[in-house]
Amino acid sequence: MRRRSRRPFRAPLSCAALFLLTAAVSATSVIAPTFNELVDGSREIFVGKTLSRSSQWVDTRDGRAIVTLITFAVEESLKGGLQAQTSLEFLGGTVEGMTMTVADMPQFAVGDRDVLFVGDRNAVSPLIGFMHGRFRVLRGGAQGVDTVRMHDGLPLSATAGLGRTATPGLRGAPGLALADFKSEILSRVRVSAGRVP
Amino acid sequence: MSRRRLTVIGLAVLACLFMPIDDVQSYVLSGGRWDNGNIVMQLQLGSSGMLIDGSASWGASAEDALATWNTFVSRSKFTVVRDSTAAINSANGLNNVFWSPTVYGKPFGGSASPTQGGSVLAVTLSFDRGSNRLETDVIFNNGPTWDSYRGRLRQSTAGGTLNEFHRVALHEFGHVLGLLHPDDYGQNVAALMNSTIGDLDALTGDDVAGGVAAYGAPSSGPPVQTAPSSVIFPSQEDVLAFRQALDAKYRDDLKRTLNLTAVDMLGDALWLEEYARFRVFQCSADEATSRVLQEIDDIVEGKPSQVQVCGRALTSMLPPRDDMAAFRQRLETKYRTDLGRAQTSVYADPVGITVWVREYLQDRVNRLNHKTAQSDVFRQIDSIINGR
Repeated sequence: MRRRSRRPFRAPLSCAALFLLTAAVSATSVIAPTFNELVDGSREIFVGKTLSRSSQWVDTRDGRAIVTLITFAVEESLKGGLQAQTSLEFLGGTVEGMTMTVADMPQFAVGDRDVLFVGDRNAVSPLIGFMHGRFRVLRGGAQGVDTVRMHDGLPLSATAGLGRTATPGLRGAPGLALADFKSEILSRVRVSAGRVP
Repeated sequence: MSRRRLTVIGLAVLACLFMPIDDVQSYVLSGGRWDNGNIVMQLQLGSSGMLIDGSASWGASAEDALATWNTFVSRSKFTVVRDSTAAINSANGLNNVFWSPTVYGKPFGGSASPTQGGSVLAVTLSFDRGSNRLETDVIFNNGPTWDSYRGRLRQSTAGGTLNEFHRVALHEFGHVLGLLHPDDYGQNVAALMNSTIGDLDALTGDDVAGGVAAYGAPSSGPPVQTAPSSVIFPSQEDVLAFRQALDAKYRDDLKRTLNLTAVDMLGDALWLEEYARFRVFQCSADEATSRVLQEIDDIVEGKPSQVQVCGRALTSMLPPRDDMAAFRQRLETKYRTDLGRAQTSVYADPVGITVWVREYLQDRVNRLNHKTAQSDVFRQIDSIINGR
């Protein structure tokens, strides 16, 4: 694996508005969800810390597969009323030297702190849109403010930039505070709960 | 639509079409590699009828995507079993490529609607022991609407995006080879292996570099032609700034008198660049002209443009000056007759505009920055003035 340094993004902010109009950008294997789609499509949303992970072989009707069970301490439940701990099962993992990889699947390490958007717990990834349903929480620095980062580690500057809008437009901007992100999530949860079908 | 609104939308369109992308080699490889030799893919995709790109079946489109990768790699190459009837199972030692509503019984997940954000279009599963890749299965979600075509993503008649099979297959087969998403690792590079995709429909130099790093380059064979990370147009703001500076140059240094034209400086910047882009991306002169005029019509009518390029960029050479001048003349007619634009006064004449904007764009495509490209063009003008 090789990594190189990243240069600052230079595109104009007007791009975000344009992509909202054209809605032409989607992930190759996952259609990147907008913020509203993330919140509305989630059955559960929580701020959690990874406590443990364990992988095992399972037999399915279509052959053997490896699954990984991640257990989270639920710091705060934002939708779905989760209790103190919850576990999510992801397809893929390593058992006895054999690794089953699912491209795009988020990888968790013990101690990771995230905001997670959970859709169908039985799906190949219980998170909405694989990695799109995971937001990393970064401990506050000198200011003591926790901030939110996207799955690729780049700061999330505004929820309006998520999904079909041009994600790179968010690069280089200051990260959204966790408190503000939670507030926006809760606000959207209230809006969608009150919506007349 | 007002001229101001047209201007704003046009600026946004062009700014995004041509926003600079760093051309850093940023591919990321996973740990798993295939042994030297053939990677046998069991194509089990069924019939499709004739697809937009002329592929007779999904399998044909997939085979083309695999053949594209084969062009660039050496030690391991894809082979296919067409219309394979092999058993489809996880961990069976076979590389199954197939449609399914689930991933081995597990729902793809995401949204209820297959066109909504969060929906999963395809999944690649890999089995590695240590660094030895043993099996990969590529599963396409048969819920959303698909076709195989090139160019910009199209809208489905059912609503949402008409998902494009060939570029998704190229991407997934990249995962089969062991390539990951460069943008997931904080990289900023034009690559089909990025986690998001739009109108890019072909492997870029970075994708190919990743394949070559993992499996070596062919010692001989066809010339490597990749698109379009190596052909990047400048931002529209830069072109407009150059166009304005050019007018000042004509006024101050060349002491030219005013010319009347219906095409304002923004129009020159927007559409000359767009015409050049279409030409670089394989459109003929007529096709490029027609597509630019269609884009203008789309903007005037307030609808998102569906105009596509004609293929991958095979050259970074811009069209000849005469072609650019002919297009500029057609643009003048369009602005005057169809858009009803009043004539404005500028110092640069139409021929000068097309010649020097073309030179500027060529320098930018050749990777000079704005300041250097503008200086280079002005130096050329000065040398003509001074008879050198």
